[in-house]
Amino acid sequence: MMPLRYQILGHLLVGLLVGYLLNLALTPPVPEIERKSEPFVTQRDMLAVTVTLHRSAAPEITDVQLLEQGRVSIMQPGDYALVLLDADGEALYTNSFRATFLRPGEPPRLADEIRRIFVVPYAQEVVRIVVAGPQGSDEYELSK
Amino acid sequence: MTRLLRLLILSVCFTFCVLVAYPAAAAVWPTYVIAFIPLNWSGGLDAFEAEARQQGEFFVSESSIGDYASVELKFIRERFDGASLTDPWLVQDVVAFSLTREPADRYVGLTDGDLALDGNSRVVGWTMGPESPGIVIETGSLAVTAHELGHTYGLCDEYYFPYWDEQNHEWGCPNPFPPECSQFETEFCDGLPAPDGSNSIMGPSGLAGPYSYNTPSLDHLQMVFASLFASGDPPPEPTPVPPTPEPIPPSPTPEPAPIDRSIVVVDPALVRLDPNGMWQRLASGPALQPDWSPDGERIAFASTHSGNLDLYLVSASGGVLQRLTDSPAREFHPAWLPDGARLIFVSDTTGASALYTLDLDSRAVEPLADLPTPASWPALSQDGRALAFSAAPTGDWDIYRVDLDVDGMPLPDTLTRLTDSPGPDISPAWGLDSTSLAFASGRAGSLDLYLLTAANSGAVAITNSPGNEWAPRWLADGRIVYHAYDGQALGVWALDPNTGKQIPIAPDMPLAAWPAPEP
Repeated sequence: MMPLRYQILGHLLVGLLVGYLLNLALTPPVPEIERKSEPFVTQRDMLAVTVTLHRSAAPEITDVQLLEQGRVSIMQPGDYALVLLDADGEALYTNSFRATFLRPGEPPRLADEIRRIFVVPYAQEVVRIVVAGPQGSDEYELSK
Repeated sequence: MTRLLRLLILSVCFTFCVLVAYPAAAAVWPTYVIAFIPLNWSGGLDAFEAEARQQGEFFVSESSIGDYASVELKFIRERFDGASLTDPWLVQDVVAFSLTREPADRYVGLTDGDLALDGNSRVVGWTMGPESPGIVIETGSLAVTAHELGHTYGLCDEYYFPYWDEQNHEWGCPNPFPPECSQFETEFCDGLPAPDGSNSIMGPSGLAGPYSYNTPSLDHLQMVFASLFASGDPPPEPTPVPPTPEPIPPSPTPEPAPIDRSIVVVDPALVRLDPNGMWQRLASGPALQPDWSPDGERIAFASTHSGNLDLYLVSASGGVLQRLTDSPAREFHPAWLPDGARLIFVSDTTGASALYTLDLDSRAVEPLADLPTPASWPALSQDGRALAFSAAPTGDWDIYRVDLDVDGMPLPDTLTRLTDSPGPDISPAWGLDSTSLAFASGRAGSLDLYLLTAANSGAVAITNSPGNEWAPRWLADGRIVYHAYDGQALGVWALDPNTGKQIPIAPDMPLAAWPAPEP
């Protein structure tokens, strides 16, 4: 019979393997866009969305870039929303954010418009980006 | 028996691995990435990386972020050149440039050039406020990265009240403006020190000695990090210092006190309150120590409109500001002489503050000779023949009185010391009878209002609160208006010295101070 220490080691390894297999079996598959929404993880194929927010007009999406790699932006919930839609108009990803209309300066000043850049997940199903705020919304077709 | 024990041990090992060890090993300890970018960097990239590493490591060690996540510092060795270091939107350009080079949670544009936001060379860094993914900083001070990153987690500037106030209105400041710093008289503040005496990271740069986050800042950062890295959720809203706090409540009465003449206050703009409840902004802030001209047509006040504390004049109905002094020294506390053509004021042009007269036509300045210094808080009696002021020739501020001749100059041998208490006695104000004198004293700890009258042998306290009350002025009906500060909020109150009843003058103006009634 094997010495006890080898038997313990063997059981530890088998236990880890069983734990891994159980995890695989019990965890439901996660949609790509949801997996990429995980914060603090570098993901492949992300979108950088540049928006201009106006104090008294609808927001504008001024640039969209596909990043080879990116980390999703953490947003503080607020009056604005960034939504990724599929071809059926179904929302695949929604994130709310707030705007601080303050322009840096000495002294800082209230600004009528500000620019923000958000990194959001991308999947092939995404065809449209919508940014909506209290004054209206703007859309961007990814085929543009 | 041995066989059974062996089986038990092996079963425990197996179960432990399935239920505990694997899930624990599989749980992800989040990694936070801060990337540095050489922004208009003229030196070598090794020097850039060395400076950036120092800045990043200082932030990590001072913020305790490492208790919540692994922090990776990355250095983009591709130069971002040709940027305008005066452009307020530079932060966005740095982020846009860096996103395509290195995935990160925060981007730091580091330059060995001169960041000069709005042309101001003293600026050493800036960002776009909470949740901004980027900051820009100059080399030179380790604390700058930690300061600007602090803003991206919601912390506010502690070095200048108007900035703190603006940020507090926009997003709510978790770190208070240091209560010991004046919101009006001191242009800049060193910030609230850390418990070990280090300078506050959210204070100004360039102070001697080490920097750390003070207790409110560190508490907030730890709350943000705990929330952020535990769930990946956005950090909770900070518990802000209320931007519109209630006035200090010595009286629960919510109705403003009725006034029969206009009063100007600062909030910190110069605001005129009329008896009908209307108010009018006469000048933008920060303003302080207003005083009406004897004919009620003009208001003199001190302000840092042009960077330095100087005297200004504005019509009581508003209009263009007239700058009265323009020297490198500080001029403040204007008080009108009865002729309406001259002011007595305070200047520190010779070092110690002293009293002077200013002729409004010729702009000639003359010292009030033979008075003790440092001196401040001049207050003239109704007839203009008695001047009360505070002075501290021995280091302790007391109230003095001197008689003036018809030209407003001190009469020889008339100087009298009216108070002699261990605490500061400041801001005297003559009553309408030119014999009663209200003033503020810190003899009992906090500043309270006291009254000297011909009938009293000594000063009598007329307020008694844990907060501070000072800057009294007399109304025509015998009440006293003053401002109070309890460490969080300012407010202007009216006090009946006979009944002790106190009523707020402007309960909807939480920053109101320095009341000055129309003559």
